[in-house]
Amino acid sequence: MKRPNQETYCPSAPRRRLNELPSGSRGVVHHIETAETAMHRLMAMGLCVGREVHVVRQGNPLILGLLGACIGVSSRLAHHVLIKPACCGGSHDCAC
Amino acid sequence: MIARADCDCFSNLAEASGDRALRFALAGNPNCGKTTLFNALTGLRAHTANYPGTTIECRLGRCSNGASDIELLDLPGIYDFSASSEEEQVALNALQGRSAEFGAPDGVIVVADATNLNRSLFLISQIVEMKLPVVVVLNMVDLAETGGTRVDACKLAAELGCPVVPVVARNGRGLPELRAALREMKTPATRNVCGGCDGCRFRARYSWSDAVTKRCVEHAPQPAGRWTERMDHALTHPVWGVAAFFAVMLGLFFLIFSLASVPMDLIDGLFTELGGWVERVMPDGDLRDLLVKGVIGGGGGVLVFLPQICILFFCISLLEDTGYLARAAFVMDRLMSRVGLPGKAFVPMLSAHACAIPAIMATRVIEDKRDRLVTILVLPLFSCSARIPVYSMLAALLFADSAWRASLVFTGAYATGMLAAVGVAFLLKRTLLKGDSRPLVLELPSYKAPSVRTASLVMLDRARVFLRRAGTIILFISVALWALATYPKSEPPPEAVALQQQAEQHRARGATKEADATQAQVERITAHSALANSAAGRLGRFIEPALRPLGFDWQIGIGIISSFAAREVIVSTLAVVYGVGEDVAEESPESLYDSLRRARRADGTPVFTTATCVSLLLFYVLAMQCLATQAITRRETNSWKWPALQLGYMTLLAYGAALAAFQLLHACGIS
Repeated sequence: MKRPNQETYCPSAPRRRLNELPSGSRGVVHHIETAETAMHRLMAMGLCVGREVHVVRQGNPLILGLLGACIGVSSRLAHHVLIKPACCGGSHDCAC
Repeated sequence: MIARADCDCFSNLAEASGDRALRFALAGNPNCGKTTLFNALTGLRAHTANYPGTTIECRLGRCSNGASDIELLDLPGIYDFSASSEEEQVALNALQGRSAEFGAPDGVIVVADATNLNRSLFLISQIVEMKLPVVVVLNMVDLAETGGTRVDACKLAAELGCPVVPVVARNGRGLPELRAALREMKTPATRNVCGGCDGCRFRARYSWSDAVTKRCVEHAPQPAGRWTERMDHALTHPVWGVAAFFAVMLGLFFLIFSLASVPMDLIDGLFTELGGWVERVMPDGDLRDLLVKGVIGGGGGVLVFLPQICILFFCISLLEDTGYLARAAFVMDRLMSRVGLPGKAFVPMLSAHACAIPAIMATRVIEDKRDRLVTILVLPLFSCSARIPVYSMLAALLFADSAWRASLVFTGAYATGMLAAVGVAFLLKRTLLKGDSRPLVLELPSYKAPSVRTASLVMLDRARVFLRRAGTIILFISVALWALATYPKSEPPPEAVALQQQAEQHRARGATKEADATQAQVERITAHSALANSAAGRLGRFIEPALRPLGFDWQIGIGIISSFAAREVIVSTLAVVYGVGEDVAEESPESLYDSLRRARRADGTPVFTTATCVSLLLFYVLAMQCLATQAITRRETNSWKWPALQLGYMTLLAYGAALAAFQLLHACGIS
């Protein structure tokens, strides 16, 4: 079973916000800007600095692939998550 | 491959706890099949209560492990124990023995989702640190195997230091093994997963989960289910998803309206029969009247809501089980967030068009307390089915000769209710219950076949809660309102006495037909005068000055007072006060409408002018006028404050709108 390499992302790649990534793309969480309760819930569902996140469908709300599950998230919450795009292309396991 | 995997020896718990029943808490993520397992273990031996001081429900059940009785507490489904939400706080308190309902648990049963062990491990890692005996239940192993995932339960048991039992809660596979495991639980050797947590405090736990998953799970790559993906793509689509949602909801309400009407008519007929029977066997008097109109009438008024409640909760539970309800909340979130409410508020709002009571009970899915309160407060503004008789009457009075104009009255009434609800919700979210709607964070679970057993248990549970908590209050007030409309007693008016003598003369002459007609007239006049002289009638006169600017006279005032408990009652009350007689109004509504049209004020002008009808219509669209809803609001918010606010603002809104409409129409010369 393939596991995403948590730490592999391009140091030089530009940071983007989670709500700006295109559908189907993956990235590594670089920084989380807010400590509100909803973000806390999202972190307990698998969103964590240094770990990979998969944007299943962009929009408002958007669908994230986290720890093998699909999570619907408000765009305004996703705005507070900074992402470094992963270098490796796809092929990670995700039920979505 | 259902076999208990314990690779260690365990101490016997029954000895440690003495003779009392063992107490186990059931923990797990939402959507991991925790409730299905709870139902499979306890069945009907469960009851629902609220955690003290909260509106979070807890379910307590009893089961047996073969050797001793077990009390099982179903904790709220959570992802984490950080106590950032009320559910997490409640779950943490219960596990630490600080819950008044339950006392310190003897052990924890943690439900893990075999199709996604990695995620379940996050919660498990926190529970094994609590130094309580633990059994991990690996649920849905059948679905995992179908998906090509094999979890090595023995390896996992060794990793965690506690028994791991693979089960399929839906069909009961593995439950005997689980019962055996419950006899011999032990505290796992303490391991602190989160040793050097720096940066993201979750990171060490996730690394641990990743590592354990790698060692215990074999994953054969499978071609992912294309059709479920495609279906999900459509159901979460901003346009198609919303369209699908409305189609599903339309189907649901069609079911509620069509299926519920049969048992509702049956209940209605049964109580009418019962009332008629009591009237025949008991001697005339106040006691008989109290039994027939207060107790039997009130009891029927409570039970008549049951079919809708049962069908709604059965269907909602099925939809939730399939995983569709989460998609519905997802697609509605964008629309609802403009008002400041979460997408989950939409299902209760649609249900409220059938009846506000099950709708208010359905608001439990809304996580944020303020969002839930706002939703509960505005739900009675949506036009429920009890308003239909009132709308029919007023539509007939306004446009007797045009069906399509009458249907415009209906459409207008429904639209007014919706607009008012959205407007009030918008205002409440910006004033009293200030705060942004909590941003959506919602798991979209994989699609599953729903469980009829779970749905039936949910339905029974909701029905029980409604009857016990709301039923008693409704019955009490029905009796009180009966007393208000009956006492003080008054002598029959001289007119009735004279007619009575006439009837007797007719009868003496053998003209039975005329005697009966006159007798009926006597009864109408007596009933009218009794109601006019009762406390309700006096109250009607007392509030008349306040109602006059709305275009209502004191007789409509009596209607409003008597329909305080149930709005549809105004139709039968108006039949009595305008002297048609209750029975006639039921048999042929046209005769009621005719006599209402003919009703005149003291100065000879008609009572039901266009302006008065519009004003009365607006009043009934917006006014609370439903005691059952108030009782259920009290129960769901755990305080009298919110039903009081609901009654207050709705009465003000109804009064204001009726006043504005009447005065405006009057000023325009429409009367």
